[in-house]
Amino acid sequence: MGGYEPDPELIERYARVLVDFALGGGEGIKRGDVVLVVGPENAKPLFTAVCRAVWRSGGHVLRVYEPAEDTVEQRSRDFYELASDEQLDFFPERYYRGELDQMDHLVAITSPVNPHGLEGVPAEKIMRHNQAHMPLMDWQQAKEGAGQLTWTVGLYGTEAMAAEAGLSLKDYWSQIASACFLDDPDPIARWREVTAQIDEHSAYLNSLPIDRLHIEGEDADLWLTLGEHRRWLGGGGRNIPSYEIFTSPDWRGTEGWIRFSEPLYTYGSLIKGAELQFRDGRVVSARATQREDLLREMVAVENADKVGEFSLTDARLSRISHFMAHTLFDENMGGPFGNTHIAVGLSYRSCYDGDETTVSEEEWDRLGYNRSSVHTDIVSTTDRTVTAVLKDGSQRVIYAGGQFQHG
Amino acid sequence: MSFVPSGEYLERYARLLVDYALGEDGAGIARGDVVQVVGGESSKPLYAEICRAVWRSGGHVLHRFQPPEEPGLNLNRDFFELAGEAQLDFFPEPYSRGLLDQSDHLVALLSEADPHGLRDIDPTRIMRRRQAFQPAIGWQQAKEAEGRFTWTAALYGTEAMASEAGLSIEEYWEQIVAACYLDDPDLLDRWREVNQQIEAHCAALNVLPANRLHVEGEDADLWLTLGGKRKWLGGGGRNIPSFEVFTTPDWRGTQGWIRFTEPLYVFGSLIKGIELEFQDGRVTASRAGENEKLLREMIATPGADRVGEFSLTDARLSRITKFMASTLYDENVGGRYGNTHLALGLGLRHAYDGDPAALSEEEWERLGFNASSVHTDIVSTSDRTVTAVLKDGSEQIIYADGRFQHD
Repeated sequence: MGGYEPDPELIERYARVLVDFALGGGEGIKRGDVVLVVGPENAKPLFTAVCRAVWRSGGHVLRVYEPAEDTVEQRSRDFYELASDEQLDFFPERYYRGELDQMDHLVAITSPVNPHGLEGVPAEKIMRHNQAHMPLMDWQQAKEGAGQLTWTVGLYGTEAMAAEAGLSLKDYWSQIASACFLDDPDPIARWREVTAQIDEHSAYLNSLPIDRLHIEGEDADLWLTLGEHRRWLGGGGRNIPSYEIFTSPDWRGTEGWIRFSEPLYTYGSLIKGAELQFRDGRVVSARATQREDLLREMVAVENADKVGEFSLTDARLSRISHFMAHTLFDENMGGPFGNTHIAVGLSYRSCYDGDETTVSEEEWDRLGYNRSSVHTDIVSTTDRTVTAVLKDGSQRVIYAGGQFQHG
Repeated sequence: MSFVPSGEYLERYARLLVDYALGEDGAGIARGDVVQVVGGESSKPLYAEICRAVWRSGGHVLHRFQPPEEPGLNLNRDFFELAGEAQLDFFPEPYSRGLLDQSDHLVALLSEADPHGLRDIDPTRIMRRRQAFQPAIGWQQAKEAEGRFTWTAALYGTEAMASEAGLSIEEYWEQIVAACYLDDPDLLDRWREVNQQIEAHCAALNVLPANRLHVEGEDADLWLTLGGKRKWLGGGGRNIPSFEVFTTPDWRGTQGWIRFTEPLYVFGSLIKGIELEFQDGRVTASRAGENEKLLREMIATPGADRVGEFSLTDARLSRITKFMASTLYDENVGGRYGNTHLALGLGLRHAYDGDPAALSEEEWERLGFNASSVHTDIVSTSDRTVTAVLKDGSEQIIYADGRFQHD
C-alpha cells in the first residue's frame, strides 16, 4: 500500500455523516436501531469508524466485513473461475431474509481495490450471478418503500481508484474530503444546507406539470417521457456525497440518441465513448469506442435496454471537480457544466408520487417503472440544455449551462 | 505481512477442513451444501483457500470474514468500551435464525493478532455479551443433533500467538503442519487412520460398564461420575487437529481437587497455576497463581462451577509436542504424558448415548448434562492415572503414563 493515509479525524467525520445524518433520511439513527455495515477490508478505518459511530448513537451493528477480492459488489475472480451454473445461480434466501428482517438501516462502504480484477471473466457469468440476487433488491426496495429501511453509500478511496482517476491518493482523498464536507468541523450542518437547496430545486421541478423532457447538446438529442405519478428526488442521505436530482421516467417514452463523455466501469472493465440510440423506449443501437462488446452484453440483460433513471446535477451545488472513476462520485460531478446522466435498467420506486406500498406489480408495469437486475449510470459532463414540455404544450428550459433554470 | 506458510500446505489444509472434517465421518461437504466460513483478517491466506475448496467441491460460501482485532484497531474492544447495557444484551434473532437455517456447515478459523486485546475490559461485560448469544448456541446444537449441521475449527498461526507460546512463527507453524499432517500429500488418509485409532479407543472405553472415574497424580485426586446414557467420543472432524477422547460426566458426582499445569486464556488474560476443589459437583474453592480474580469471575457465570467435559489424550496419537497458547491445540497436546483435561461449563450433548434430538430439557437436566454459556477447558500434561470403578465395584486402570491401557 502507498504511504498516504487519510487523517483519522476526517474518517470519524465521514462516519458521523453516514450514521447521524445520512441514515434515517437526514435524521440519523435512533437508539436501538439495527444497522448493517457492509464494507471490504481495505476500507477498514472507515468500516470500524462507522461501527463505533453506531454504538455511540445507541444502535446495534450487524457486520458484513468482506475480503477485498470477494465483495458483494464484485465477487472474486476465483469464484467465477470455479463456479458451476448452480453456484452462479445460488441465492442464500433464508440468510438474506433474516438479515433484511433484522436491519433498520444499511451503510455500504464501497472501496474497489482492483477495478480491473474481473477483466477476462465472461460477463455473462457475472450477469447471471447478479440476476440470481434480484429478489434481494426487490425485498430491499419494498422494505424501503414501507418506510422501514434507510440506506446510504460512502466511498473509501484506494490507490487503485486514484490511479484510474489519474490522481495521487492524497488528491483523490482531497476530492472526497471536499465533496463530503469532511474539511468542515460540522459537516452535518453543511449537509443540511445542501439538502435544503436540493429540496428547493426538487420542489420547483415537482411543481411543473411536466409531460416530456428534451435533452439537447452536441452529444445528445433525446426525448424522455416523465410518466404519471412521478416525482423528482434528491438528497435525503442516500449516497454521501449526493447532489443530483433525479427521477425514474416512463421507460416507454424514450426516443433519440445520446453519447456519454465519462467512461463507465462495468463487470471489472472500462467502457469508453458509449453511445445509445432509443426507439419506442428501447435501445436499438449501442456503440462504444472501447469494449463495445461488453456494452452490448450489458444492454442485452433482461430490461437493461430501458431507461430507469434520469438525473441532473447543478454545478453550483456539487463540490466534485474531477473524474473519480467511481459511479458514486461521477454521477454527482460538478465542474463547469455539472452533469446529466441516465441509468439503464432498474427504476427507483421511491420516485412514485404517493404511497408506493399500495402499488401492485401490475400497476408498476402500467406506470412504466422498469425492473431489472442492472442499474447502470452513464454520465456526461458536457453542456446540455434540458427543456420540459408541459401538459399544456408549452415549453420551459429547466436546466442549462450546468444550472437549474427556475422560471 | 509476516510469515505465510507455503501455498501447497494451505491448499491441503483447506482440503482437509472442507473435504474431510465437515460432513459426517470424514465425508466432507456434498455438492450444493452451504458453508459458513468464519475467520479474521490475519487468517486470510487460509480463509481464501477454504472458499476455493468449497467452490471446487460444488458448495456455496457464506462469508463471515471478521474485522481486525489488532493492537490499536480492535473493533471488539471498541464495542465493549462503548456499549450500553441494551447493546450488550442485544441478540439479532432473525439474522441469527436466517444464518443458521441457511447453513449446512461451519468452518471457524482461530487466529489472534491481539491475544490480550480485551485484558482490561470488565469480564462481566464480556460474559453478559456471551450470555445474550446463548439462543444461537442452543439452536446450533439442536441442528447438529438432528444431523443437519456439522462444523470444524482450525488454527491459523500469527506472530502474536507464536510469541505467547514462546515460539518463533516458524516453530509455531511446524507444530501446526505436523499436527495436521500438512506435510503429507495424502493427509486425508492419515486422518482416516488417526480416526480409526481414536474410534478403537472409544470402543474399548464404551464397553466398560464404568460408574465412576478416579483421576490421580501428584496434582490431582478427583472423582467423577460418568452418569447414565454416556459415551466416549473423539475424532470425526470437529476440530482439526483432534486426538482427544472425551465424554461429559454427570456434573453432580464431582468430588476432590485438581491442579492444572497449563495456563488458560480467558477474555484476553492469562490465568496460571489453577487449582479447583469440588464438593457435590460444584467448585467450592478456586485458586490461581496469576489472575485468580478473573478465574473466580468466570466460575461465577451460571453453570460454570460444574464439570462439562472430561478428556484424555494418548501421547502415541498426538503429534503436538509444544504449548501453543490456544485451547484447540493445548487440549490435544501429546508429549511425554499426553494430557488430561476437564472443562467447566457446558456439557456436550453428543456425549449422550442415543438420539440427542429426542431428549427434552428436563431429561438433559435429569441426566446431569450441564448447561452454561461457558465451556472452559483446563489442561494438565503431568503424569496421571485414571481408574474406572465399574458397576460391579471392580476397578480397572484405563489411562496411565499418558496412554490408554486397554491393549
